[in-house]
Amino acid sequence: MNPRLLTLTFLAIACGLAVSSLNGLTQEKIRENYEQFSLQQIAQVVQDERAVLERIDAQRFLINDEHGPNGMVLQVSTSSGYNGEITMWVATDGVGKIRGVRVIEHSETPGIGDLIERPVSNWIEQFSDMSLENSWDDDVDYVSGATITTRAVAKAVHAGLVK
Amino acid sequence: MSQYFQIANDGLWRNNPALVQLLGLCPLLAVSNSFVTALGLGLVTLGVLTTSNIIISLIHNLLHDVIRLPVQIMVIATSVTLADMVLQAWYFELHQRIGLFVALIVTNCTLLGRAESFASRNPVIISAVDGFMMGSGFLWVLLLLGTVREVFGMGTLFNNLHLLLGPAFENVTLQFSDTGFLLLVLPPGAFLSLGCLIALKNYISGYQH
Repeated sequence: MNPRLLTLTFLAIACGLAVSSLNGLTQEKIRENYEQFSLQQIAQVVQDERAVLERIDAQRFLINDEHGPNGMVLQVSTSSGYNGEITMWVATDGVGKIRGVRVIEHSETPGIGDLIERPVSNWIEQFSDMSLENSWDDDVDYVSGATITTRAVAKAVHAGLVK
Repeated sequence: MSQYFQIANDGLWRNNPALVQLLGLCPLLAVSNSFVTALGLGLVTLGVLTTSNIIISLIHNLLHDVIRLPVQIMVIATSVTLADMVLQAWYFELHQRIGLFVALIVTNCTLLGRAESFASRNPVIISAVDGFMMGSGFLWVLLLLGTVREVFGMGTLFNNLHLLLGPAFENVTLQFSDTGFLLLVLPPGAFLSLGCLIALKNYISGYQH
């Protein structure tokens, strides 16, 4: 066999081993981090500290406040963004208005599509208080340069609301 | 000794990767909008650059011309992936901010440039020093840009520093004014401030001659 090919193969295996062993080491911790982050984000979309969340399944929570059930938190995801899946929490209240939306995972373009994240910009806040009665073409402020990303998010939120 | 001094001078000033070689501009411009993200990505780049230089100089005798570039890219990509995992596991909040850019370090030409032009023809220790100095040169420019853009763009400095250095740094944010010159935080501001910095560097260098 060609010795250069052998070297290349050997080095590729070494790199692969390095990555997979560190992956094994950190996987658990990373998963925990994301879970904790996801729960924090739920608290932010509900925007009511006294509300008690009742878990229906991994993607749905029922919101109970002092007057009984008052809306839901739904996990919605879409793949019509610019790159990969965008996953978010959408919280509604009892009359079908949105309490809040937070993107929890995405791989949109850094510096352009990442404006859907809360710490980067407050674009995502505009969905608060919207409902199906709003015109989703006119009332959502789509961002030029990030049209695909912002449209994907708005569509997914709308679809979540319909559910 | 003078050889090390030469390398330090090259990395930090004379042949600075950001101001003279103009390499790695994509991450440089993208994360320099605040001091903290600049510091975070600068440090990660510094670490990855030193690591990749060390590894490549360790194996440079094995590398025939035909496979040299693929192996260099592979080593760089591996180091970046490892750094990314470490960030996700132990610096999760910082990763939330700079995570998207960490993957871009692979495309930072400074890394491949140093691997190709230095580490693949020099012994280990001096390659490590070269990686460290080039990384530091990149870091100080990034920090200066981050400082200028944060102070003039948002009127603050060291905002969110605790994400990087721990809760002890929760209240170190300096507030100069409530509003800033927003343009500097936006992408065009990155080009403008880098341009001014390069002009300044050329002026000083020209003066030295």
